[in-house]
Amino acid sequence: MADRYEKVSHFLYGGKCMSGGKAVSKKKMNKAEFREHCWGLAFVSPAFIGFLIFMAFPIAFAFFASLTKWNGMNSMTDNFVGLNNYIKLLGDDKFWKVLLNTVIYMIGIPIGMILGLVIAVGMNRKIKGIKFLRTLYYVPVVSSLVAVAILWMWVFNYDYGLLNSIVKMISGQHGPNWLGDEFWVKISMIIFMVWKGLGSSIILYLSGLQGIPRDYYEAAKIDGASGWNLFRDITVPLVSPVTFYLLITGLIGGFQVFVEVLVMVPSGGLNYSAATVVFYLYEKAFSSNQMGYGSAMAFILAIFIFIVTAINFKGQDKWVKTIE
Amino acid sequence: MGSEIKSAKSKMIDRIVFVALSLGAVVMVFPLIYMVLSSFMTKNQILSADFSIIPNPWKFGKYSEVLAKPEFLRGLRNTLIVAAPVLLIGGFTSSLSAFSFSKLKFRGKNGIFLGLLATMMIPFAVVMIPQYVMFTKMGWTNSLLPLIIPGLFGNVSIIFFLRQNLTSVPDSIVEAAKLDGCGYFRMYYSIFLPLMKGALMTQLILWFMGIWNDYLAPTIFIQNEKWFTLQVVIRSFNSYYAVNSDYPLIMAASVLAILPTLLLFFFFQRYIIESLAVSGVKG
Amino acid sequence: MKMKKLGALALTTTLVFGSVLTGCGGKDKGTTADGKKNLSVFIFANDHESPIYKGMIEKYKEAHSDTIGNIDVQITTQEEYSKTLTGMMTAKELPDVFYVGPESVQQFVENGYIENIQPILTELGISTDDLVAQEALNSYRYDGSKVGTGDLYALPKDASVFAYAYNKDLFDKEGIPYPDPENPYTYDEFVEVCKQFTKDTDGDGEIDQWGCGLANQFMIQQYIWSNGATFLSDDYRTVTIDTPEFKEAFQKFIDLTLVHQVTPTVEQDVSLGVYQRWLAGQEAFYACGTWDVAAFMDKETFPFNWDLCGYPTLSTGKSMTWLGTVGFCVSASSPNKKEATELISYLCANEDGQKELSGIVGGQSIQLPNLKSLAEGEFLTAIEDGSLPFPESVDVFFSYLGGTGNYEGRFQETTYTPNAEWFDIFFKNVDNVKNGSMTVDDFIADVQPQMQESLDTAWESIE
Repeated sequence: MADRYEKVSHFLYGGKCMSGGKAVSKKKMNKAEFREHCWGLAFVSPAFIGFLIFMAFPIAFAFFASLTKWNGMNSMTDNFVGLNNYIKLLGDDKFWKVLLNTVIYMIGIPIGMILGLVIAVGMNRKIKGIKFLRTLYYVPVVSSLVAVAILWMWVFNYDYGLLNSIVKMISGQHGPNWLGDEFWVKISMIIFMVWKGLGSSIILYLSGLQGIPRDYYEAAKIDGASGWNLFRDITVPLVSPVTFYLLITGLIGGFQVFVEVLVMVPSGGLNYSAATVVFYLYEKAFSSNQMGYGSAMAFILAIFIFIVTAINFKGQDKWVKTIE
Repeated sequence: MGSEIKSAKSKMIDRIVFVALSLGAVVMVFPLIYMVLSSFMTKNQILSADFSIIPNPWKFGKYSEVLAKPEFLRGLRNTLIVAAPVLLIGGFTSSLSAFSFSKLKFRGKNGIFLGLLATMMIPFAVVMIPQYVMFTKMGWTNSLLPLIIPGLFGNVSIIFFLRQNLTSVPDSIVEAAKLDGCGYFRMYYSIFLPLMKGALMTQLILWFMGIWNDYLAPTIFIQNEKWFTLQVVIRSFNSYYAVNSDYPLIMAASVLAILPTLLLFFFFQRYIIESLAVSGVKG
Repeated sequence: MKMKKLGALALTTTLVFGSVLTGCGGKDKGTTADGKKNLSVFIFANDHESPIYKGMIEKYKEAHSDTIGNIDVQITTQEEYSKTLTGMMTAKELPDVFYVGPESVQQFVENGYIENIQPILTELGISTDDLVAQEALNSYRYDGSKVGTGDLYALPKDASVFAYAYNKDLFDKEGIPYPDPENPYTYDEFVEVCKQFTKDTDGDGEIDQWGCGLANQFMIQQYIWSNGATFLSDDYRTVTIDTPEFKEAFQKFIDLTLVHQVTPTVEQDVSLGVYQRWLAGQEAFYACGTWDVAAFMDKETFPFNWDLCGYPTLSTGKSMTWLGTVGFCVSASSPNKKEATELISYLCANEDGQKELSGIVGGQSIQLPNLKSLAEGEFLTAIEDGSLPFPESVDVFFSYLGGTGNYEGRFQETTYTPNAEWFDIFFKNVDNVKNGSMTVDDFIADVQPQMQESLDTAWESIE
């Protein structure tokens, strides 16, 4: 178990041999190792070839575009500007603003994970009708965004929305401007996004929970462990691979949030308070026809994502456990 | 597995959990309730200033209207044409890759994996135009191929998840299999694929949902109406000027679009939940 | 056991390959085997227009079956259109016929995407004199440096007008005489009339009926232009929102909400848009574009009696509004330019098609007829005898279009700039002024440099 993760940090530190033992990249392989190497490579080749065909050219194209003043209509080569777009981007206040918004939205990730795990544990029990209940939790994930957005805009409506009606009933005061206020719009979006993604976290955690042998729980109960102990010391650590997956995909996806904003707050919010990086990117590329600039934004974003992901990969030794 | 005799305490916890989950379920499900109800409303009622839940008057017939529209069924068909090969072949290539990344040793493994992961980090918006250019040059734009072919090569997110899932399987199994003279493909097919079954099914269901709900890619890659997928068809019911849209129709179509996926999930749950006995190394 | 597995595998393989193959389409070429020409068309259209255009193209194909082989029509939504078109341009695979807006004519021509159809029109003997909207037609002319004069590069699909409208039933209820379509209100008269509508009708202490509702982005220009001001200088390079005329017009616009309070407040607007309030009969005045007519005449959508009128006038005494248009153009790399030009001339001017689109046939009007002969003839008679549901004061549309009487229509200033970003900057924060948190002067001082910068970048990007 340990060496896999060490191999990742091994790669990240540029080939220095950090793990004890298996220095595959330095020695020459023997026949058996070579055979395994070939088969291993062969098995991942479809994915790799797919990447080469469908992503390599587009990424290269997009990168070149980011070095030009391409607007979708003119010639890229005639409008080469080098790193100008990048420099402009670093000085663009709006960019940093939407980047901050994007990061703030990520608070939803741990919220979604915790809720997801707790609910999954509850759903893992053999209760009559639980199958039906589980299906219901999945509805937000499969619902069309258009219909869902109409609903939630009503929920958040300042005058007669569901939330503010409840607030008025309970406290007699007028509720906040959920979608119009610079602060509250962020809260609303987080609520919306957690709600929409909960079903997927639950399913994935349910899947992960299946891998935990019952005997562990039995043994611990015999030792007198409480429900909370069972949860904290067995469940949580043993679903950590799923948690790690959710964290990484959550971060990668979270940095690229776009459609939800487009649908709930099409203007990007008052003073751009709800817009995300990809939202801004879309506007620049397709409304303002500044595709080169938009591409540059995409690459800077990708760099951020990569750094954050790499940090997490490195840190996973500390908390991602597996069953021996 | 086998039957369990539950203690009274356990049963009470069951009940509490059930009630709590049911309350939560209402929150999860209210859009669907509204969608169903609004598909029986008049357009005016949906657009009106006062938000209302109960249709007044009740207008029936939108569902048959949707089903009578050939575009709708065509969209359904097209989405399925995309989903079938992608899930089957893509599921195969993804699980094969995951097995290899997780259990086999080969040079460049981590580099390739991180490279694949990196493809998730570029927003679709900037690759969609060059991809479109590629598909045009390959002559695929008058078909569903742009949506099918890339998926056949595997899905990085799934590879990642399956790889995580396999970390809980001891390496000793691989060693034992090697000692037995087992070929690598056979190892995948007879040992690890069954082990991955639950996780793979989970991911395939999620992938299916993704394909089902996908709107961005089909819109730009498919211009020919006869190849529109389901979400694009539903979206085409929208008029550019809101007042012209037939909202009850759109709601009916959206409800119809959700039903198969929910049914699918309901029936395929058992693949996810079924207790896969990993507690023991099969010989 | 093994047979079952093999069988399953075989079935799956067949299924999969079957799907993949079914998923393949064919590729059309420019000419069929027997020398007939093929054409490809790519446009956007909504649910209602789509069958009409498809029908028109089908009829055209049949009428020309000796020279035309296949016409491939692809229709998408308006929102996605430009992205897909960009993709096609980048791939250098454009259809024979597609849309161009007046704001893109210069760039499309300069980058070699569209063909100069003037010579072809002359060769085919096609005249454009019978078109109603000559100004819209001219917006597709380009002489190498300026749009508006020179050879034609596209033919208009339509010319739309964004006029003003009023709820007759509300006027009746309050006992106020209808506005005179020949004499639009002045600003002051307008304010007085609106005040008479703004009240609390159900006694709950909150105002629930207003004189008008203002959708900033679509209605501010009417006030600005009518006061003799413009957003940009004549060469469209400088932002001129700091002129006294502009500030005055802007202030008057804002005052409708802030001072005279004849519109819903900003917060009320967020709750329920001004458009929806109009549909619910809460506002006396609102806008109506030529594309809205069918919907507003539909009693289910808008159950009130209504009619067209003019926007209030400011210092120039002219009621102004903006026009819109989109045109059919021919790809510069098309192998069948002559046939394509014939097709677009048909789409623009074919009588039967125009009758359907304008509602003379079918009763659902989504655009004005392009042909003068129809517009002055059958269109008006159909309205008079009731076979075409239309507001009585249809002349308002034509007056704006033709610039007659006290009316004048012009294109938005964004039509003449490389992109509309500078314009969006202005509107993103107008609500800050509308709710009183910023003064007009402060706002303009804040926003003008940003707009200028954006405009400069835009011009730079095409130089």
